[in-house]
Amino acid sequence: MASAGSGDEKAAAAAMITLISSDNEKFEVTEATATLSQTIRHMIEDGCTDGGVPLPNVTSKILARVIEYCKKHATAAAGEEGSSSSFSDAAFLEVDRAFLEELEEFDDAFLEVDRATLFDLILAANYLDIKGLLNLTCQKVADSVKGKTPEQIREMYNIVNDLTPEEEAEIRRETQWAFE
Amino acid sequence: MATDRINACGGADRITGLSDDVLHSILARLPSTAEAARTSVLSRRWRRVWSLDPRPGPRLPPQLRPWPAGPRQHRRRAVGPRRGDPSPRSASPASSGLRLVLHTARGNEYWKEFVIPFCERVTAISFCLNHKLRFPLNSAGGGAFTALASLEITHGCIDGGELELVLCSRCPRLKKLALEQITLRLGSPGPQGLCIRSNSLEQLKIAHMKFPEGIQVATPELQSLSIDVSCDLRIVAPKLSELYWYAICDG
Repeated sequence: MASAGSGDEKAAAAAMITLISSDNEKFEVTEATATLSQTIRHMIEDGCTDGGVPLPNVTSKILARVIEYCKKHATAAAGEEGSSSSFSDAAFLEVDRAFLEELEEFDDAFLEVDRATLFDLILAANYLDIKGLLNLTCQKVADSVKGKTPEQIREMYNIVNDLTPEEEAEIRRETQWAFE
Repeated sequence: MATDRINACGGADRITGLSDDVLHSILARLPSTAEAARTSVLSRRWRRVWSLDPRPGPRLPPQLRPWPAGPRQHRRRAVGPRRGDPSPRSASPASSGLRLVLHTARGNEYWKEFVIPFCERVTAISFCLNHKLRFPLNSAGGGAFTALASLEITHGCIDGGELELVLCSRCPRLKKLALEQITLRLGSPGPQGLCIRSNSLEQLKIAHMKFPEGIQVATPELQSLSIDVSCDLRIVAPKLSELYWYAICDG
């Protein structure tokens, strides 16, 4: 019933949005999926989605992944609302917990991407203003940096150190508490 | 969108091209303030991201200039509001153990903005201002409350996101935090509500505040917690030994 393609003509058909990637590929998604993006939500509210929503900053490869994320998390939101009345509290908590675990597993699997894709996802999540996805991807980057020395971080992310040795020494002096 | 920078090895530096907001969000997710601060030596860009700009610049706004100071000295005075953020820079008052106490008796003036400059040597701050309080996180200057051990804010309106970021990444020595009768700016906290994360915090008091989205507290060193709010709470505080709970459930 809840799936987008079920042909429930009254609700689902009326609320489809077309997203157009930078390489001109079209993706049909439900409004519930699309509105996980605040950017698209505002466009829908402003009535600017007729004829599709062009997303010139997002390639079809990345948009497909973003939609995959949004679909899963939109289902999660809908599931939470729909099921609360039909279960006793204890049963609901059980279902809720199982679902959250499933969602967590989905997120973990979703993040199994190469670094270039991870950064593309961050840029897309930022541009589309999808908080959950941005949090998830930023956490992944933070986890990768955790416990590393500045030298290791530079090497890992190809960061060019454009500080002079004097400048670097000065910064280290100022933030000495952080290096203790 | 960010453009890739290619280094001598041919690898693309994707991370440096991210916007300040995104990089701040990444830094805020590091387990300690010290780790976030250490990224300031990565490169010029990262130095700015962490906002430790040591260049001499205008110091404190007039109403915050350090008074002739001795340890433990403090002064009560009404503070006029400031619009904008012309000159918040790291404060370097001459003494250590400096208290900053700003209380005003005026009515609600939430539309007026008051920027709290990062004061590196101030050890205690107590604000009771009916203004919108901001932290200069996005300015080129900035810095951190490196010595701050006690922060009390009563009344006023705060951006939840800014508060989270300041608490978890700019107050490495904060031991005591009290937030009372504060309004969070609408839409600023994340979907999980206000998240208070600090690796140094030992005492926390939250009272008479409304958080529709709830509060999360993640404080490994917290020993004493006083709560007088009715909203969802998630608390991770393994060392908690004192709990004062005044909340009345709404049912």
